[in-house]
Amino acid sequence: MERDVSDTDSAAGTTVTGTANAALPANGNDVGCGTRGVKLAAAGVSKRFGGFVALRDVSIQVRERTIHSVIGPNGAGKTTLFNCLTGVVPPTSGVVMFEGRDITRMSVHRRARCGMARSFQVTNLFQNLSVIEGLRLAAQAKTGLATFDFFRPKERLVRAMSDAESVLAQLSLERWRDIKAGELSHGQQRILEVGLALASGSSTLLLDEPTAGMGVDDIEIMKQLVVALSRDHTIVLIEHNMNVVLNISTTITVMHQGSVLVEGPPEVVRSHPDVKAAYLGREC
Amino acid sequence: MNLYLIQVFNGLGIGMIYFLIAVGLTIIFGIMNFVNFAHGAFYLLGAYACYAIADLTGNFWLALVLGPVAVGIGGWLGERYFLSRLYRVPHMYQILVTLGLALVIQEMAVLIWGPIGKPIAPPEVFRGVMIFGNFAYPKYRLFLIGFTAILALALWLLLERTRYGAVLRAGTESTEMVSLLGINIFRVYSMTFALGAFLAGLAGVLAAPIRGAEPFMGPDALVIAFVVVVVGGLGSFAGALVGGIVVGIVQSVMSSFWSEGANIMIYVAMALVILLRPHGLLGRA
Amino acid sequence: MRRRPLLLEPTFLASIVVVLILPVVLPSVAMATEALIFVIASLGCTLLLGYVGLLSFGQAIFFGVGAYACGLALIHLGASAWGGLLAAAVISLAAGLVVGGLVTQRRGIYFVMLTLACSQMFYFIAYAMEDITGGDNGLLNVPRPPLLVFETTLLTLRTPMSFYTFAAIVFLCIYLFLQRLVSSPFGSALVAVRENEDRALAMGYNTRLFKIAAFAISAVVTGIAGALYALFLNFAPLSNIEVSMGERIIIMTILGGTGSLFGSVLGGTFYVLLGNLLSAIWPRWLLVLGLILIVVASYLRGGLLSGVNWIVEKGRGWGILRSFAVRAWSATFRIRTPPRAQP
Repeated sequence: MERDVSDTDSAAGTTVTGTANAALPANGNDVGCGTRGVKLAAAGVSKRFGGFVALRDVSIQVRERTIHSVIGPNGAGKTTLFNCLTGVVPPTSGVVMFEGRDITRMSVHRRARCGMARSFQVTNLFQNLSVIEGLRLAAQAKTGLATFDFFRPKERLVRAMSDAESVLAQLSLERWRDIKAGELSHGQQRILEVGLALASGSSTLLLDEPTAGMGVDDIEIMKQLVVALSRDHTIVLIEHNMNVVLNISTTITVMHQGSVLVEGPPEVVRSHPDVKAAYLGREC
Repeated sequence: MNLYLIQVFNGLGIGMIYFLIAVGLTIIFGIMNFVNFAHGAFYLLGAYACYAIADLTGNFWLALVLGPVAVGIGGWLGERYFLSRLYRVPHMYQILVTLGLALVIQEMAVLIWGPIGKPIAPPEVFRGVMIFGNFAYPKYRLFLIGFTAILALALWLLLERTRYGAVLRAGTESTEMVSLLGINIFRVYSMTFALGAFLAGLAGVLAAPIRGAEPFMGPDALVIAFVVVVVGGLGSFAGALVGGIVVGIVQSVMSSFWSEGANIMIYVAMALVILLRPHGLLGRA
Repeated sequence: MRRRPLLLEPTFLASIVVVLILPVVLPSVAMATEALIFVIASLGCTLLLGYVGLLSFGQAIFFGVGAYACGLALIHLGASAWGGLLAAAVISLAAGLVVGGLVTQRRGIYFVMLTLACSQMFYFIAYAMEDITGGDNGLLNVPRPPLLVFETTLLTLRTPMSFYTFAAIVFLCIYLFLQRLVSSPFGSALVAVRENEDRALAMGYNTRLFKIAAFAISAVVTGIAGALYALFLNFAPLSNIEVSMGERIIIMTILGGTGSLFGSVLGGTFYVLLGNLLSAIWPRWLLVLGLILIVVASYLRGGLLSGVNWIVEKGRGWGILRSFAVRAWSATFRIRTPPRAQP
């Protein structure tokens, strides 16, 4: 069975790749219909798991320093798209481009070093390490060969240390600097989850439901954090909380059953009849 | 030509014994997510049970029935009163505790039966060779292949066609789901563990007339079972069967080319499988 | 945060103390030497298990390969003692890279199984290459040349004490090196792999590369221990490379505790002492060891290290016991300044 899939993969892959490359701007600064360059793009991305089609010919273009949200009912394919963008699963066909480079088959850690950082839907921290150490590790990942320094104390890697301290301040977690990440409240853990992505110094942050399980007050903090970050970061946001999405997004892509249903600014999406239908069911 | 055919048959017999050890390991891991380093010790106990019973009664068939049952009951008791406390601890500690248990069982075997291996005669009916034209083959090994083939079929029917098998397969996918269906998962665990111990014990009894019983056979069998599982893919019945036969045949065919290297070739085969198909021949990604 | 210079780290000072008292406290200097050799082997295991979270049953590969490499270099190339150690380090490094590259293909339980299988493979290779390794008989007549530094004999290595001094120097160098390593950026990345490999990967760490590197370093340390063992015994037995040697190394590491490098010092010493004392009175002492392993893995996860810690903490209200425990503890752990002779 596996062989069947891979055979059709390669066949479909070649055909789609041709058209997709033509459809994509040659580099990130080529202006399409918006005013800012395309940072991250998926073109004709499909993903099949056996016979199940999780993504069907999805194309999105994330523009620089915008908040691009991906929403949709459960099972719409948001997470699969996110996984294709971050490299956790390779798409069956289609192309993922980052800053004009084809990264479709690039490994997770190499994408991260190219400047794409992600956060996780289920909190995924270094539970037993201190808050600052987690951030320092994230910042250290970008230091290249210095990471392989096995002789000097880690604190001497000043770049990583100062980056970590400044992110700590940005997250307003200074008071919890030296306690274990696992001992933070859930809301603080969600903040740190975004912080670990931020500390890596990436230009693009892919945030997977940052407000998952948060209380009302904490959601407000997270919202402000994301907006603040969007000033100098490109943000891809998967989010369930419609209030947050409609409030802060520049562009919203609505997914339904593995395809893009509607894409546009919040005002357009809010009033679009198909979106209501997708969320409330076909009967409406 | 004749020689290789004989080696293939030998390999098939040995491979089926490997299969019996590995399949227990794989279903225990599949449903309980429990790493049992004492599994080789069950094989050891099977061989010694065979020796003790055959020595006492002079009847191999009694040993073939009672030996594995005794090991199975031992496994059931061990799971019930001792190992079941380990399900929630990290794998590392499961490995260490069961490794300690294997050491204890091995040393107990030395204390009881001495450090020197014990030979075990095959049953009267299957002594000597069978002649097919110009081709002679030990009767016991033929019996071994036939018997284990029937056993594999029976095991397959048990896993595929019975309610217990359905529960087991469901449990491999999601233990939580099985408990939600109102099935006492802990009884399933005990049963599974006993079944695994029974099969390893059976492998020990069946192997005894070929290689005897000796106190240090456990770790070797465990490592081979791991190789089988790695080659075949963990958690699958077919993987254990294919892996067992592949390993058995590689080992025995290679022994006629290069006797010292036969054991090395098993591991080379394993390394190749890992490099080419990291999840095993039949494993899922 | 002010850092103490690494030479004054409490556990390093404690290690110096241990090195000084071992030959006095243990029944013989030879036993102290054996203890130090296994402490070094255990340090290699602690690096993998305690810092990267990798349970390797393949440490015997490097111990055995190191012993063979050292022995062969001494016998056939007429190498010096340093040359023997160097040969062991280089060959174990190569073995570590090969084995590490293979076993890190998989994670979790598969990883453990693969290390065990690789260990068995190297055993059979050593067994089959009888012409080189001596097979079942072991590699006999490994010489023990005097230790030279710039043409001057530093240590003759003839007396037990002389060889012990050599082992102690090697041990302290390795301890210091590993102590620097675990608190370096590289060491912190290893901890990141242990704590959360997926997150480390998502942050941009090539976690497999780090695991292979850790494997290689651990292999070198273990290989040097093997080389010392060959020099110590004047012989490299096949049992060096048996799976059960790897199990022994894991067991002593767990007994000591993997929370810090110092756990290895406790574990290796304890194991060798226990092994020598028990095996003298009862050949089936592995039975006792199995029981100890079960108890430690069930109830004392931090090993002797945490046991000692616990006693010291609980000891605070217990009068005489308290003062004894605290004093003993401070004697080994809380020394702030290096011991100095009075003018």
